[in-house]
Amino acid sequence: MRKKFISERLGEFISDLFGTGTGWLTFIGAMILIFYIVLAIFSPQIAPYNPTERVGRSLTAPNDQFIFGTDNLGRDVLSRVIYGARIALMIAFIAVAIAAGVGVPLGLISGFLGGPLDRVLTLIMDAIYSFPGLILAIAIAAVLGPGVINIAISIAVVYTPTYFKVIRNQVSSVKSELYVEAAKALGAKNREILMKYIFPNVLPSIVVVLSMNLADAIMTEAGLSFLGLGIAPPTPDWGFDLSNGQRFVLSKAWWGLLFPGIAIITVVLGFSMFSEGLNELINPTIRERR
Amino acid sequence: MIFEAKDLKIYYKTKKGFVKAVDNISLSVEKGQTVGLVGESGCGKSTFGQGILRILPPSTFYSGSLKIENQELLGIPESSMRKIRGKKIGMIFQDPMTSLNPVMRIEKLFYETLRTHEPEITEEEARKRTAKVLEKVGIEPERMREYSFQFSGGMRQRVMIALTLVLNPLLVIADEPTTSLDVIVQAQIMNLLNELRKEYDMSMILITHDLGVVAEMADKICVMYAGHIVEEALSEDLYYRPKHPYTELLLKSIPNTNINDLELKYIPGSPPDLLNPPIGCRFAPRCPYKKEICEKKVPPTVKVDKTKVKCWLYSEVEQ
Repeated sequence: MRKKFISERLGEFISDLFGTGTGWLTFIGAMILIFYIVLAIFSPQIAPYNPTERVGRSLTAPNDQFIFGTDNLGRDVLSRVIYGARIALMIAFIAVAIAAGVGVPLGLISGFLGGPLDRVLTLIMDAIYSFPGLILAIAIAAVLGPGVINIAISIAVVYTPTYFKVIRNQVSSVKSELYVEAAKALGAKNREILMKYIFPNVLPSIVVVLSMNLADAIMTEAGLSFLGLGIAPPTPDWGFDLSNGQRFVLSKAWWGLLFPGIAIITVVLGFSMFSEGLNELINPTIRERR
Repeated sequence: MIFEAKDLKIYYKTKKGFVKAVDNISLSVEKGQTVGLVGESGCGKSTFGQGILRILPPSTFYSGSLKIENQELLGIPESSMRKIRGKKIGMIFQDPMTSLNPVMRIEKLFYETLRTHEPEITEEEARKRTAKVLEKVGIEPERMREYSFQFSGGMRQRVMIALTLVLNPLLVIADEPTTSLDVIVQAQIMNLLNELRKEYDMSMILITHDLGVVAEMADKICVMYAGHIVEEALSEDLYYRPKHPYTELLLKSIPNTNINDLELKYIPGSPPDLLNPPIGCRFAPRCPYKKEICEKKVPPTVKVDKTKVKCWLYSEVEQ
């Protein structure tokens, strides 16, 4: 009985999704993401060359041997783009994990307890939020220095307030729901109420923010390394390759700039499309409106 | 006596001052008794119900005495109070549509509730007790695998009743348990509540604005007006021999289906602001029998026949 019910709903959902343009967008987004994730995991197997070694002449135009050409140091651009996916996704995932790991618990506590603690935390988060994201990330990255974890932390600081604010506001509305009151009347402890009654009910909004932030984090990471504040040079990184590539555009070497750029654009697009679809999946009200 | 409130005051703290939602209420419930608490919206009846469990905002001010089985509840720490909630005093809420957590299966909801009070209970044991109590309220036990939103309003209220009963409390506070349900379901739920109350040998405080409902269910009825209990009487006495002018007017304003009497009656005026209630009798501004003293001094509670009434009309009779 129950299984049939769920599968029916799933089938209905899929046909709903693909009946509209957004369904296809979500699907394409997911495909792009899967593509890049596979690229990141299996880069040693997929990449034709070692990304940090000179394998050909400097600035070779794309040809049969080097499909995307080589950069100024004779390194294969294709291999660097493939390995770049690793760094980009790794930093994005770590950064978002830190941001959610800090922002979500603080938001839960702040929204649930309210009072002076809530005021102070909200004030701090608003202060962080008021900085332009990239500027703040630059400042923190400059202090912490290069390195995967350091970059991830500087990006995480920028996105923590997003989680905090979303969760805090959701919690303060959910906590006045009658089922929370009822749980209280049945003798539940505050911790139980928070973890079992409130948290599961605010979880859907975290998932959506999560996938949107991943796209943003990749852009910010690329921005940081473009400005030379990211990963130390020999490591393949899209942002760095982009800034390196643009120096040789005037010598008609367009490939060093174009391919990392396309990689950044497509992965961010993939995440955005996917999160848009996810939002619809979780928020049926948005779906109804179309 | 299973439950007793004595000179209970519950004030809400606001920026403008204290809202005296419950003011000097005394009420007792015997074992197995059903006490009805009636009054219009905003008279403090729900505040009283939630105040018994102390689940009002933390800034709320309490004074007086609240006893369950001779144990004082006011002033005991929150951790001891949690052991009272659900286990000794259960509560059924007004709106069953939103009083069950939508992300938990019914069985999980029961398991969590049982575990709060009996930490060592196994899932198997919890499931057995859940099945038993669900059967009692007329829900097939197999449905415990479902979520609350898969139930209709009446069914959800049955689940809520079962959730309260599973802990076998001494006293159940039913805060308008049927207000959001249709008339037929209302009757079913009320009958169910009444039967189960007898079977589990519980006492009940039934909070409602529906005079018809309490008449059938309650042994004793307390009429509340603006934070005061203005009349406390046996159900029969209250209906046939109302003493307080408010009760009298309230009974007259029940709509009826008599074709010759289609006019809807009401009590002119509106309840007083509980931030600054009238100095004297709180009903005085709307009372047709108002005398001079009514606006100057709060009337004492006097006993007339078997009824306790808070009105100046009867004090003079006694003198």
